[in-house]
Formats: sequence, C-alpha cells, structure tokens
Amino acid sequence: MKREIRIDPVTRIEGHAKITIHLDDAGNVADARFHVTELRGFEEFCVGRTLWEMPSLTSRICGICPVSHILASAKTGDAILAVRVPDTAVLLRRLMNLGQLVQSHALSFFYLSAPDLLLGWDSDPATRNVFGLFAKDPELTRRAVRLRSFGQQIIERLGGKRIHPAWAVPGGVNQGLSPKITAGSRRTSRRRSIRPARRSTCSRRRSGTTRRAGH
Amino acid sequence: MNKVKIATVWLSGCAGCHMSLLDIDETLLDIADRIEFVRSPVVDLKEFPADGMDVTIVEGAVANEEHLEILHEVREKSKLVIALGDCAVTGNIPSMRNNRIPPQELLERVYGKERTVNGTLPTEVVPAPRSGPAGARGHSGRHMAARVPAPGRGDRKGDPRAPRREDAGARGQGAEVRVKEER
Repeated sequence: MKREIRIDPVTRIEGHAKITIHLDDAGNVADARFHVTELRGFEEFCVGRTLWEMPSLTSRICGICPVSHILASAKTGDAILAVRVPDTAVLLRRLMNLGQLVQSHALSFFYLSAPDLLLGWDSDPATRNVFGLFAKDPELTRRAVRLRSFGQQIIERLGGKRIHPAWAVPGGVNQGLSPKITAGSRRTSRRRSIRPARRSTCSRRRSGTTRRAGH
Repeated sequence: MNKVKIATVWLSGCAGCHMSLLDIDETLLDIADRIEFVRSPVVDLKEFPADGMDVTIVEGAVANEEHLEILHEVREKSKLVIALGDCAVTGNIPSMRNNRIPPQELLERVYGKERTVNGTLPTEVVPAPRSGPAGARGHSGRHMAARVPAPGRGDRKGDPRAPRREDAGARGQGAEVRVKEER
C-alpha cells in the first residue's frame, strides 16, 4: 500500500517548510520532498524600487540572517554603481558578517539542533527544546545564550541594532567604528555586557547611571 | 505555581520578531521556571493542545490560506493573543506585493514557465496566497483591523463581526489581532 509520511511543519529550523516522504507498495521510500511553503514575492515587489531601498527591503527576507541579505544587497549596489568600497568599510562589513556567523551558528546549533543531539532523538517532544536543555544542563545553556548574544552585540555595536541594522549601503557603510560605538551604544548598555554576566552585575547595572547617560 | 503556557507562531514574516524575543538573552532562562513554551517554531509540538494557551504571540502577516487557518485556531485556543511587530500589526513587508500584483499573477510570475524548469504552479503543498481586494487600497482603510473575536463571542462563521480578511483594508493582509483577553 502506498503511504505518505508528512512532517508539517518542520520545527526548529530557520524558516517555514514541510517534508513529505512517499512510500511504495513494499513500504520502501519511493520519493522524499522538502517543500518550502512560503511565497512572499520579494522577487516581484522589489522590481521598480530604488537601489537605496534594497538593503533594508531585502534584509527582511530573514530576521535570523539579515546581515547576509544586507551585505549581498549592498555589494550588488556597489557593482551597479561601479564604485570602489573603502578598505575600512570592507573590513567593517566583514566584521559584522563574522558577528552574524557567531550568532547564527549559536542559534542553529544550541537552540535548534542541540536538543536532538544532547537530549536524544527519542526524548519527550514536549521538552525536546532549548528549555529542556536548560533543565538538563543550565551552565551549558547559559553559555550558549551568551555566545549568541556576543554575536548579536557585535552586529548591534556596528549597526545600531541587533536585527535589520540599516547600516551597509551601496558604496560602503553609513557609520564608521568610532570610540563612542565601541564604548557601547545606549541600546547595548541596557543589555547585559559581552562579558559573562552575574546577577550582581545585572542589579548594579540596573541601578547605575550609565543607562540614562544617553537619554 | 502553574507555569504560564505560551505559544508563538510565525505567519508571513522574517522570524526577526522571534529573534527579538530570543534577544532578551539570559532573561529568557531566568524566567524559564515560570513559563512553558508549548507550541512554537523553536519547540517540537506541532498541534495546538486542546486545553489552550494562556498567551499566544503572533509574528507576521496573513499572506495565505494556511495563515488564516492558523490565526483562527490561535484565537480560539488562546486567552491572550499578542500581535508582535510591524508585519502582524500593519502587514508591513509581506503586504508590499498587494500594491503591485494579484496573488495568482504572483504565483505565475514566480513559478511560471519563464522562471522555472517545468513551469508547474505549486498548488499541492504551497497554501494559496491571499491579498487584499482591489479597490481597498489607499490610506483610508489602512487602520481597519480584521478583528478576530475572542472565544465565546459568537459563531465565527455566522457572526457578522467575524473576521473576514476582506475587511483588513489597504494593507490587505495585515492580520491585526489586537490584544484581547477572554473574560
């Protein structure tokens, strides 16, 4: 008897998808398909818009890896305008991309895949997630969260925010790396620092004056 | 103390709002003993449990038939529904196609013969895209929300106040689910 096994939705991935596995009469796999179920139409609604909108528009393809889309779009803009990007901007773009690699790998491995690998394929689906991981190994999970946060903070300090920074533009980047930025933006200072945070650090930060300095 | 049961769903969007949620970093772990993520893209349960959610956070706009179904289920099974982010509230980026191109034409342009190898439209597994009706564009209708009634406020199908995507106004697919609490 022909059967179809359907996994819908596929969870703990970065995006929307279904998987269908088609079995033949003997119960063997005849075909397997991975379906990307989301059509948003970027390829159509971007047509006719200005070059300068593209990095901000296309970064919204993905909020998990917006930096990839911002940089791809900015580099396309560089090529269209036939401009030479300053060396500093090339390095800064590269730095932000590395920040993204850190955060996205931390997300992919620790938040999404690790529950399978560390709790086991056959563990209870209800707790087979990052919170189940936290219950089993709090220290590891905290370090994983800090690793993702570290990558996100690199992006934030360069581009002003963690997700969809409007920073890379055709021709380079719209803001350099000033001492003010490295000292931490107002947004960054509200959050826990890159250093491993302890509770005492947190409470001191909360009552401190640094947080209001930017207002 | 009972844990607060939380669900999150992503409709048409970029997952950035979910990432913003994760960007509270260790705070998420600090409150882990008080909340339970029951149904979310980052956990494994695929169905909404029948006993319902305390809070459901919705990211993204309604851009296809499946999203609408999910949103109805979310409303029925949640005490509190929170629309998180621009896409869920105004339609934002996913609604930009509405100003240019009807859904069917979009499908044909993206998957049609000129673009893909066999030119077959993905009707089997890709949910049919939705859009606002022609003529509903323009600023005037922009803030008209598709109100999804709380459970117990009348039959969804027969109730004139029932959510109709056609009422969503200019942005067409801005599934504006205002926070409503079950009383």
